Amino acid sequence: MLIINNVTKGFENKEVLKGINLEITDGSIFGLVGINGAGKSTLLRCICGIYECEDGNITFNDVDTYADEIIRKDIFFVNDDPYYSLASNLKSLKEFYTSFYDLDEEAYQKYLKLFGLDENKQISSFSKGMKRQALLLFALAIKPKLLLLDEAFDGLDPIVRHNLKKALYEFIEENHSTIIISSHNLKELEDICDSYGILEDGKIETYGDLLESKQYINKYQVAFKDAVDESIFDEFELLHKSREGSVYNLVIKGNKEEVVKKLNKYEPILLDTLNVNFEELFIYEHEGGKK
Amino acid sequence: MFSMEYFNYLLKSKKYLLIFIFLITLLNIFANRKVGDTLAVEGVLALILCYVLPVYFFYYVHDKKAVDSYYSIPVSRNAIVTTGIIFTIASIFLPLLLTFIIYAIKTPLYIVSTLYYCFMILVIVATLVIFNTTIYLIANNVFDGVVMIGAYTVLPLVIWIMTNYLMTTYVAGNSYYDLTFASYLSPVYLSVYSFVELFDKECMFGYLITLLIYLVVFTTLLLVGYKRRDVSRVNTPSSKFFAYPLVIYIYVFISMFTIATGNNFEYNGVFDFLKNNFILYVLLFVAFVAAHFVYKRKLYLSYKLPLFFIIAMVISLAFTSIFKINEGFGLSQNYKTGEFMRYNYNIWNQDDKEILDLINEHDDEHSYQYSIFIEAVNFDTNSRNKKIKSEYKKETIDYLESIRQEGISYFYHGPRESNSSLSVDTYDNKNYYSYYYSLESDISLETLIMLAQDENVSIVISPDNGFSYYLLPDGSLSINNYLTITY
Repeated sequence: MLIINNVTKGFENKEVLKGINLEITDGSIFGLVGINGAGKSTLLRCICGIYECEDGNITFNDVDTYADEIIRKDIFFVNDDPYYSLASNLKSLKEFYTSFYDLDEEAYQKYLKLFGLDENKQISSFSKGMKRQALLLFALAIKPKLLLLDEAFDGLDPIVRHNLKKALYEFIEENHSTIIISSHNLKELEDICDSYGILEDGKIETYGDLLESKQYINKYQVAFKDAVDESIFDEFELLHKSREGSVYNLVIKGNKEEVVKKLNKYEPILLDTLNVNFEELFIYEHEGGKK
Repeated sequence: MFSMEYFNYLLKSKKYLLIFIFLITLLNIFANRKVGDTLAVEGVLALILCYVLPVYFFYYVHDKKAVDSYYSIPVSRNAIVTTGIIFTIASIFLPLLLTFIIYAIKTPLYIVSTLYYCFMILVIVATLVIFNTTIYLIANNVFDGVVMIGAYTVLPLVIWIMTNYLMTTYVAGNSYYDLTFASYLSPVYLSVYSFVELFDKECMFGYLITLLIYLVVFTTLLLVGYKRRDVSRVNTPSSKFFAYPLVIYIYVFISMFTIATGNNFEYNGVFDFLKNNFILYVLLFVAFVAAHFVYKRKLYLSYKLPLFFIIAMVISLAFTSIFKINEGFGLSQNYKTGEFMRYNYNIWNQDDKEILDLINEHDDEHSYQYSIFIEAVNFDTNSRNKKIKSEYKKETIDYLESIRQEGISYFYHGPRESNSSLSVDTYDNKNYYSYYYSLESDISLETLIMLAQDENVSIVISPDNGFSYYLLPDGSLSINNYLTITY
């Protein structure tokens, strides 16, 4: 289990992470979302021990990930812009990783074939997407207990994205590992993640099971015969409200049945309930947080 | 503290570079030289590598992407840096060692000497590599790292030149300061000096101890600095105190002191001095702003820059003036005394009638001018080992010291244009020290005869006809056509 305990981290005069608390259970795929500059990459770097937390600590299976380098054998970080020296190819990169990790040769060959990469070609000649795949290849072949993917789906074509998702499913199934993926591509995250956390203003205000959250936040289209006093919506945990003619579009956080029951008290002539997707959930939570 | 996995990786990934270093170092082995030739070519190569390899092997610390790879691997930071340093030192030392052993076999050398030389070479290489790596890591990016290495390498030399200039300008008698001593203040110069003198100097104990102290200090700084290094600041301006802030301000201070040294406020006034040096100050300020541009990667214009500049200007001018007014804070009165001492008094183109008459008694050709050279010595200048136990007569010392005092006074109050001088040379079994005073004095024949009574004193009078005479204790002259004095 990964436990992030009251983690604070800042750069120069800017505090990026302000007392983050989070627990992620083994075997889950956690989607870390947030607007640009929210601190997603910083948090991932703190988790894998690149950055030292100014306050608080991060443990994986009860071991501090910064202080104890041995635990980092079980953690692998794929950053958003991987490093390759000018002349390196997959073989030389393999030399680097096999020096520190136990690399599964069979898995390596399997994913090499899946991603269609040439082992002898210089990585500097790879496209951005191919470079990312190259590092993902090692991440999957090393089989870490905790895999951290920063902007994982960026620069990948649909086929590779599909292959990657498939590979991650297999990876979880075989190794019961934990994956944390940060991405702006919420559609992809929605397909793959079972839990999520929204990083906003240096804190994770919203997190939990993705399916449960999606059920807990719903869109409602409601219209009334006569004009109503909008203060009637005050009793709801309203994340979004807009109006088109006499139809109100509401996004309300709360048990769907209870919300419907409350709205029915005002005898609406129209009441439709729609599910939100992950992207909408993020946008409305972000708007709600701002309010 | 050491990671075998990381060492093996470095070995595998850098194998071609290592082979290249071995080959290029060993290339000179075929030259017909011996150890006494001090491994000069290999030494220069090793010196270059001591600068290049830390930059190359520790490149990753200044690359944001590389930091993600290197700092997330399951190896502690201490182990990464220690292993990296050991690998760098080994890459330079082992080819050098192999070359040296081949030379030693050819010569041949005693086993104890061979071990001693090997140990010294190892200490020298380690000191240079660790010093350069520590300085390189002060910065936050590669460019700044290289600038810092250059700045810190040159800094002791610049400080030495400035101090020397200040002292020779304001402390009467000081003609120069020994660079050997100054080299102790810099690990770089001490390493280079040690290497250059390794096969010539019998006792390197002082060098070795100082190098070992530097080694311990900089290894500690490196390990602590590396562990505490804030990697989130990679590729940002190098704003740590010991990076640009210190380097820029210290160089500006040194330049200020250099300009301020030599001011003659008492004769020309402050305004004249500033007018004469206006261009220099403007250029220095432009360099100061330019240095901030390099530091911050943007034009930095703040009231702090002119404020500091003016403060530094005032401090430098005030200090140099006070230093001069106080006659070098009394430093002029002190000089190193040693077991051996020599006074040289020179006076040129004199026309004292009494002395000219004495010369013309012995000389067919009439002389109108003469020069006097007095050497008062209590050691044999031709043989350092042959000590003469006799001492000066009290009168000699008193008189020569009074001339020295006159020289000090003349230094601070006279126009410093003179045709006579006194130099005092001492030797304290390790180093020679030389003090030089311009004088404004004329020695009478009576005083010359008084000095000639001392057996340690030689007085040579050279008239303008090309002859030279010794002045004898009885006041007569003895011709000397083959006067040679060796120092």
